[in-house]
Amino acid sequence: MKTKKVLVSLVAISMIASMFAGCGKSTTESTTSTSSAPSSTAKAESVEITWWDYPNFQSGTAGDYEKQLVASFNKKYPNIKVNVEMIDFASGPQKVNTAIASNSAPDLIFDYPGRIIDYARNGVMAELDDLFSDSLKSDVSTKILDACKLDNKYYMYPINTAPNMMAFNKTMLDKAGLTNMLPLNKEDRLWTVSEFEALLKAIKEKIPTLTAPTAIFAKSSAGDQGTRAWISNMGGVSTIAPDLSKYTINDPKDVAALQWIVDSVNSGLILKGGEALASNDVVDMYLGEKIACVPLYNKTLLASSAAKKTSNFEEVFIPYPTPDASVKPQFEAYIGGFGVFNNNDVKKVEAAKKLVDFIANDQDTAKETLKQTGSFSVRSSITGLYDDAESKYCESMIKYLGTYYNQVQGFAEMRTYYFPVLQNILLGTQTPKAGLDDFVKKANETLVKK
Amino acid sequence: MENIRKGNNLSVRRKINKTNLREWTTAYLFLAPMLVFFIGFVVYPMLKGIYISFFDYSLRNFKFVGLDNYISLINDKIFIKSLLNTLILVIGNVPVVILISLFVSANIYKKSPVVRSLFRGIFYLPTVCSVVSITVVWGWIYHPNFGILNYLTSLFGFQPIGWLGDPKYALGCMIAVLVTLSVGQPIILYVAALGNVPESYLEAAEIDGAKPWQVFRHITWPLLMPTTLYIIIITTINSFQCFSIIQLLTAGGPSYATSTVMYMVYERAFTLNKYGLSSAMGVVLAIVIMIISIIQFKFFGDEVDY
Repeated sequence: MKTKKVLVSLVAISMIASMFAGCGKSTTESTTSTSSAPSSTAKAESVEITWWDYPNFQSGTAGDYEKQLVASFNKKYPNIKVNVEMIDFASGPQKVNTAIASNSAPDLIFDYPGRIIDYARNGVMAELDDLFSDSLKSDVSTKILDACKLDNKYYMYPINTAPNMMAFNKTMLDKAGLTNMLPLNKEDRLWTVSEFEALLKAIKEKIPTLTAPTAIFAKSSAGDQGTRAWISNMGGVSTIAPDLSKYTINDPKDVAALQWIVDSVNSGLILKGGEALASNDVVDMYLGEKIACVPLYNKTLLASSAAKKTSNFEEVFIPYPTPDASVKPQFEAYIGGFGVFNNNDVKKVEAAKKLVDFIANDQDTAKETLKQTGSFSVRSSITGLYDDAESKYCESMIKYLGTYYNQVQGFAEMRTYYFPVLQNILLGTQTPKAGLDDFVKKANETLVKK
Repeated sequence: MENIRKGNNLSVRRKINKTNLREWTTAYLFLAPMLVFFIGFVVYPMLKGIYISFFDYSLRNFKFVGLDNYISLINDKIFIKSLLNTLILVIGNVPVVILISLFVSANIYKKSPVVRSLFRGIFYLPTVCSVVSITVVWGWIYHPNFGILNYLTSLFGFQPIGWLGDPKYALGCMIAVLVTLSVGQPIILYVAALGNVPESYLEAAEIDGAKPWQVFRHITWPLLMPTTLYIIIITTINSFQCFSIIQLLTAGGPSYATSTVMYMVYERAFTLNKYGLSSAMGVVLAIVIMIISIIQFKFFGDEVDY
């Protein structure tokens, strides 16, 4: 009897104990792994840092190229151990936010200014001014440099960029005899709204099997930079004022451009139902040859979408049309780069900065890294990474980069106001003017909200 | 004599107490692991959520603001709309789930075990499948251009409809998906409960001349009441917490037509980092669920005959 009781109590206690076993931090594990770094001289100096990465590089499975980079980095810095942890674009941002809120942020992240500068605004990033040499500053466009700054301090080290444009299925237009209506022979392929409209009409007439010549999307905030750029280029007034003090997409000219889009939806030039379509739905329709033109495309998408094509059609990048030839396009662009988290450990910050500098500037790997991202260098001195004509054209269009505003105060909140308004307008429950006025009013409030 | 009896009583009581104590100790030791989990992962987060709702909490800022979060919720049109949407979702989902599951189980529980298992399996399938895959399929069913629903309606001469893109239909479409996801468990429970209704009661009623509907209304239905109460409360709570299908199918759109409180909680917390505000939303939702559950208990609980 007594033995039984003792046994029962033991089982109960061991159950409780087993629960707590998982809760503690396993310190022994990390010490052993750190000491396994191939350094005998500076064991005390060894640092372990964590790099959270989105699938930014294209070869192999996610994380493969990062491991290669770390391996070459460790040849130069053997006592900095880098733990690479992959996160995905869908849930990654939330993981980072949760980690920051619970003081367990990584040391390094490869992301875009929209998020990195926002982290900096919350005081969790380390400033990177010492990484910005004069030669770098003179080599990178000020628009990109400004995007990496907050209160005149650099918090993001820019690596790559790719302008967002439209793309057309050239093979389809070739077959329909419409290629001559594309601005392929014009300087920088610049064209106007009336030329664009004429082409859409011709596509609708000559290729009746298509669902529609092109499509718009407003289901969520994903890809919203595409529709904003489309509207503001066709109107000729940029989304935000050059000094980033206010949003200007409710200018009468942009309102007229959006009205043109609404009219085109009604006349069948643009697919109906955009309010329920996400940007990737529209890209998929384009790759499946249901539409001839996709309003948001860039070099990275070109590389990653090849496998999804129903047939191996030829595609051409075309800038957004502007009201007339005197108005130059202003692209929104993807800018990628590194941010270093300040986790109150100077050694880790320094180690992370060394890794950033290595990835960006190492002679043996830097170019390959850029190619792996499928986009272009932010440095104007590094060109000609790719051999194909479309990539070269795309690279040449970086000069039309518009005012970059993804790093402004309240950017994420502004995005949550934009797509519902666009949905209302596409559904006809708001006029373009009322909708854009409403959006700009709310968006301007986010610029000053603390 | 009296004293001896008293002494005996005392020693018996002491003995019982001692035995009881030992048993209790063992019992509580076995309960302790679950208790620790419950406190750690349910009670603590709940209390912490209430605590956070009084703070302006974004990433590393943590400032006490009193009731500001709650006041801003009252003035937030989108939140009020989401709360209404959530209520519509619950009111639309719960009765339909009860009716469908009762109908299905009443029809299958007398069938042969093979047929019964087959139908139980079919209706339970959505519950065990990944919600993500199911919503992807529903996304295709509702697709404005290539969806099978528009194809079917077109056979009857209807114009294609952007089901998820039209505020008139979007919430209804969500309810339809939610119903298919919710009926599995109630069917299993009802089939089991129907099997437990004593055959003799039904036979007696029939002999007394009761018609099938009267047998169901006066014998079966009251005996099913405990199960019905459980199903109503569980389905209500699940419908209030509806999030994943909204996130995957409409992201709350078009123009907030399908936005629910849970979706708002997610968006405010993880997109905009307003943890305090979203905790306040969570607290409001919990209070609403609690009030409705209490009403349901009061209303249906009286009819429950255990």
